[in-house]
Amino acid sequence: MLLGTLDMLVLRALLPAPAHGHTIAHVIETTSEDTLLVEHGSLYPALHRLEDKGYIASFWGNSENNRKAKYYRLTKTGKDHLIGERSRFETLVRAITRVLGPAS
Amino acid sequence: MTWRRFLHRSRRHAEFRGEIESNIAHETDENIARGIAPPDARAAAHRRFGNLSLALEKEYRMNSVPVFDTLLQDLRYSVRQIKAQPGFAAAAVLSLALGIGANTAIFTLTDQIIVRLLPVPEPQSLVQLRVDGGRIGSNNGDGTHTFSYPTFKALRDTQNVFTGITGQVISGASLTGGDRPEMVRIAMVDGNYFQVTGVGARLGRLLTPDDNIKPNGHPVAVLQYEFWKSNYRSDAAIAGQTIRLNGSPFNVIGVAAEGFEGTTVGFPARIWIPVMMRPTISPTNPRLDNERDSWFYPYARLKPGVSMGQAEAAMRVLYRQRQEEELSNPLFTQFPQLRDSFLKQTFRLESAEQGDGGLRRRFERPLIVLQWLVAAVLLTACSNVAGLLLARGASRQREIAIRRAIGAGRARIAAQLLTESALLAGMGGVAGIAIGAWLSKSLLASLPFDQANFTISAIPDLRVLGFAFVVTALTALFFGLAPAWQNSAAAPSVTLRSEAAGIAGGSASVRLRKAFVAVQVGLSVLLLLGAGLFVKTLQNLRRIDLGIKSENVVTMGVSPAFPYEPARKLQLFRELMDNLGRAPGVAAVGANSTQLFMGGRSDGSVTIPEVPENSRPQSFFNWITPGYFEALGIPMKAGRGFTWADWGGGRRVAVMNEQIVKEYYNNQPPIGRSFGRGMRAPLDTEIVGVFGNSRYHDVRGEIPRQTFMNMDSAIANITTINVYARATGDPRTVMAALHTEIQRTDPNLVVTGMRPLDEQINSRIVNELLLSFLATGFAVLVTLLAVIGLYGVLTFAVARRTREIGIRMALGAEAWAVVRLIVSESAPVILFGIAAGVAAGYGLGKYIENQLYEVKPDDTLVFALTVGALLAAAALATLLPAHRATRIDPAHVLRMD
Repeated sequence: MLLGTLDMLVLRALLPAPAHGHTIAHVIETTSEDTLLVEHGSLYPALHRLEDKGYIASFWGNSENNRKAKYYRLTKTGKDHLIGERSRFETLVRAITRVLGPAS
Repeated sequence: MTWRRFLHRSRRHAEFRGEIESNIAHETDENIARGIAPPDARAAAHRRFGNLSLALEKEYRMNSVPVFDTLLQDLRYSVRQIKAQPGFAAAAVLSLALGIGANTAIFTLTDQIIVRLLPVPEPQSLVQLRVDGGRIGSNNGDGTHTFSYPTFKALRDTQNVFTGITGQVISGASLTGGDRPEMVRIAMVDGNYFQVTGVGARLGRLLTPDDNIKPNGHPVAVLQYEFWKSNYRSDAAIAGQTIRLNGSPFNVIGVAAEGFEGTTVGFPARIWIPVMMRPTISPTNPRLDNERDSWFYPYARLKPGVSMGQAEAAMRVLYRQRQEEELSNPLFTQFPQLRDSFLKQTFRLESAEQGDGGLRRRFERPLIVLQWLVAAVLLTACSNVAGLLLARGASRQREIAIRRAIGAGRARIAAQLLTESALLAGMGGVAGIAIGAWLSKSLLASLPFDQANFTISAIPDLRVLGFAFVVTALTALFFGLAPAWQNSAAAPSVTLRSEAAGIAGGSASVRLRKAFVAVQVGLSVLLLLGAGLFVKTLQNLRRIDLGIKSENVVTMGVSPAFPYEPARKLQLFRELMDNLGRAPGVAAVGANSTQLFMGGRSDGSVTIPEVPENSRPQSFFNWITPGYFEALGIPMKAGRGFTWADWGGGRRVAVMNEQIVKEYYNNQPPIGRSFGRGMRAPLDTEIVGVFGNSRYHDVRGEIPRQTFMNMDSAIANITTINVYARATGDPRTVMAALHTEIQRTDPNLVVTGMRPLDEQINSRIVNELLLSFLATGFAVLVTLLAVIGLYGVLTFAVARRTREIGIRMALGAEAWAVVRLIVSESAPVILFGIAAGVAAGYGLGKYIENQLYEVKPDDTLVFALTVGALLAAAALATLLPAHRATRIDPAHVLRMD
């Protein structure tokens, strides 16, 4: 996975509704059609780092199959951050694409 | 952020564990839903999660502050190490606690007596005025800082270098109105006292120059804050109320700001009144306008921008002009020789940023000496602990070598060892503060001051705690640094291989330990020398024949709470002596006007007609009651003492001591002859007896010439009498009875300072008592530490050389050769230590010379005894391990490989 993009993907995954770690990994994997594989072990430190920065907040709740799980929710600052990151990323992708030129 | 995580890391960790568990569970559920069997489903979930310990490690790093984390780790490790060897830790902490405690205790006193400034705004600009030499007339007080009131006034009103000059005189006064008359210290001050010192009011108003214009015209008083708090329960309604001082009413106008106790360190003034009220307080001292009577202590505040030197130069001119005016006094025309002496006076200024320095002048030298002594104690304790650490490091070589082999850097290990030192020092510091508080409390209790009126405190304040903290930190560095560096050096390859020899430890560590022991030996020589000099001083002082039998005598001051008529005093004092003499357990009672051995004195010329005018003697005077010589056990040599038949009869009689008779009457008792008190005085007093020599204001110095006058001849001037009661047994047992008899005789009598006379005498030599007692204690402590240190390092050396000694013995070495081997290890250390100690001892002797009494600072006996004692102790510490070395069994040692 591209360095530094995990944070952005996690924030994007939380945009529709709060979710717990397992769901977040799943969402990223399924929406990317399994192109992006998330190592669960590194997902959690990333979540904690984002929480420290105030982009997401957490609460404990019961999951869909009735297990205890820690849910994360996108905060206002997190949403703003995501918008900023997204436009920066898109600029970057456009630039790289231009440099690469059309595929031969 | 990391800090917050760090502080909650155990909770964080548990939460993370929960999340992991939740993830695994969800993944397992999914796997089962896909149709995988439950045990496999869980294992697959784990695989899917990835490296668990890596995730935990990542999380752990996020939650930690790196430096702090290693520190915490080191601390935990240190605690485990200390727990593993509690004996070592106890020895180290105890020696450090003693060292730090001694330092804190002495600093508590040094700080308050020598360092601290007066609690007033800009204390640095306060100065005290003094005149040295050529004092003509009557002097009260310390004889250098006192001025007559007219002289003071002239300087105050003409000077232009100060923002103001003020002054004070301290006195005891009876405060009546409570349940019992009470003696309090009052300060009689000039009207501008509070303006010049810059002290504000807590309540009401303070004195102003308008309160100090007419003699006896301003009966107003200002209370000290603490006194107001304790005696009047901080009653705000006190302003406007009346209190009675020596029987006269005074109107309380206010309370001074908190913390201000007057300008005399250690001895607080409880009440301030205008100095114009002095005649009211002491009717026998109405000399506000006598320029030849010095008793007033001036203080001044320098104008901004004026230096002390400039002010002194300007004031010298003024003082000189004033002297010229004073020369018109008829005294100088009558006795022209006084003129030259008077003009030889030197006027000076000295800093008063710490207030009047009586206490400081008296204790500065001893305190500085003590501060150095305790520094030496701490240094020894440090060397001792450093030695212990090195020894322990030697036994931990294997552990350290293994830690280095698996990748710990030398700095990391040294840091960990230093943490251990810091922990030991910290524990020593905490225990030291407790020991220090106890020690300074006992020290203060041993000072000869009325504790109720002495405000030097033993309670450690922030400054003392700060000092203890700094000392502790320095201590940890000092004793920890060298061993930490040395011990962390263990090279894995060498150490782990030499393990087989049984004893590890490089020769470098032994050299370092020997250096520490040499320092200890040197310090113990130094302290023993100091202690020896002080003990000899004390012995010399104790050996002085005071001329009195003091063992069973109780002394106290007695004064009427308000002024009595002379006739009433004559009657009262006689009645009091009779009643006290009849108290159970009392053998004899007498009283005098000038208290013995407290530094107070009254002296003057004696007109003896048999001696030519220009060689007539000065004599000390004391006014006494009948029974005085019996009470003090001063033997009669000729004639008689006073009896009640002399009392109030109008005939002036006197007794002289042997010294004056020897010098001026050719040893012929001058019974029946007459003399006059003063220069060219009328011969109006008849000598009725001669008594043995005794000491007067001090226990030191030459035998004083003394003349004893019958008290009735000066009864009008006497307010306080000092009573001496001889008990048949222990003087303490009659104290209660004496109190009862005094109250029964007249309930208005105020008793002060009742105590055995021996205590009063000891108070005269309190510096020497303290110095000799403390120096001896510290010296013994340090010597003990040094000997233990020496013993330790030699035992270690023997253990290290066991194999070598065994081989030597197997090859035929005799026991003496083995002993010589060990002595050769210890002798250089001891000799070097002793030489350094003796050299430093000469320096110390010079420094403390003025604290010694009839002892030379290089007293041969003291030096010889010290060196001898140390050699003996060192020999013992050497021969024990040496003896053990001769018992090594070669066969056993050689089989050890």
